[in-house]
Amino acid sequence: MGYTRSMSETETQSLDSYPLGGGVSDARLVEAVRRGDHEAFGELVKRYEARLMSVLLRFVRDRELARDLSQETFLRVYERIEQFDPSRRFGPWLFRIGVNLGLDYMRKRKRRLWPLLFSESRSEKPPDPASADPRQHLDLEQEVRHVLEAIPEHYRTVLVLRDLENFSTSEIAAILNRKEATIRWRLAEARTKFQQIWLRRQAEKKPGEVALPIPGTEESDDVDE
Amino acid sequence: MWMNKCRKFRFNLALLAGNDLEGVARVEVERHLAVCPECRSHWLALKAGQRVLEGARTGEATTALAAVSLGASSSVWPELSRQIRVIDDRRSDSRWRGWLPAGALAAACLAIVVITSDLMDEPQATARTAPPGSAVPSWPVVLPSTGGSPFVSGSAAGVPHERIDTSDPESRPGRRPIRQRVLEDGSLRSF
Repeated sequence: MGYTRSMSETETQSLDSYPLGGGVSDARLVEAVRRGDHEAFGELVKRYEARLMSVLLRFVRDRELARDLSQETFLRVYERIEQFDPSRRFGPWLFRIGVNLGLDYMRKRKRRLWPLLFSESRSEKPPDPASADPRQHLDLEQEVRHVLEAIPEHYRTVLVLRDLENFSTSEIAAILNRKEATIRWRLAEARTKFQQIWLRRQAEKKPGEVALPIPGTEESDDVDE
Repeated sequence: MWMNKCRKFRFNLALLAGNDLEGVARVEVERHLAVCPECRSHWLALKAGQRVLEGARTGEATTALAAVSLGASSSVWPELSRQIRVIDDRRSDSRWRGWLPAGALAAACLAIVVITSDLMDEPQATARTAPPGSAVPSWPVVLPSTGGSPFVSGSAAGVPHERIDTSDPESRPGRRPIRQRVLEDGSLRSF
């Protein structure tokens, strides 16, 4: 069956953008999976695995673990495919299972470190000579991670999904099974908390330490947009 | 200090900072920002926080790394398809296994019915189907009384056999029934 769609094409699409263009819709594929078509499920996996893994990497620290969790997510999806309501969108349902798996994992491990936002271990990546100061960027990443750790989980999850993973608020509502108004309220709270904690941490820097510059502030007129 | 009027915009300022506010609400907030320096400075701080998050996202964000590294070779599908086949096999097995207890129960019930009916039928069959001249049981046979009338087991005429008269008032429970032997000439002998 011709379910093929290139990875680059699928990665950039939002959760509900399938398939009106040319491909087979998620709903059709789900229907085929229910009839026992493995190839159809393979197509669904290929459509969503990169995005799912990217989201899971926000919750766990290493790539292999994120891979295992995404595999587990797809297995659960396959096992529960009969329970899926075809009148709803498949993507948010899949991501709900994945995000819940990631959050459960984090709760179980009770890690103090918020999942690696920038998945690869630093030692694997040589510094880019083209960038001005690679350490500065790493410091920024680490600092952001610390600030996110300080935010309560239900705000943090919304903030990560919206501002780091670029899901729309309606998609997040579907993923977290909450009303969109609730998500918007949590998002506003999360942004306010992030900003407050960030400022506090920068103010607490020791006298010798240099506060991290906010990206984009070099062009200061940007703030007056 | 936040004025009361500003409080109602506070929520929307955070949404505006991330471009999540549209329509009338956006226009209202923008109008308010133009006249309220407090809210404007708060909004600028929120915007700065957004730039930090954006910088983190666009730096070495996992999205890009995952997308680059997740080629066909590292797709989870090959491993997943194997596991799915195992699930399917397990499902088809469990489908049969689900019927197993029901089948076993039905078989057990059937066996019980067959055995009990055999046990109940056996004495009557012996009594009623014994052909004339066949061997007469040498022991007294007690059969359930039908209608209270006495009947004879091994009832072939002219064949000596025993009978128990259960209709006799003497044969009430706890009393020994009257046993009689039918002799060849048809006469009865009690004992």
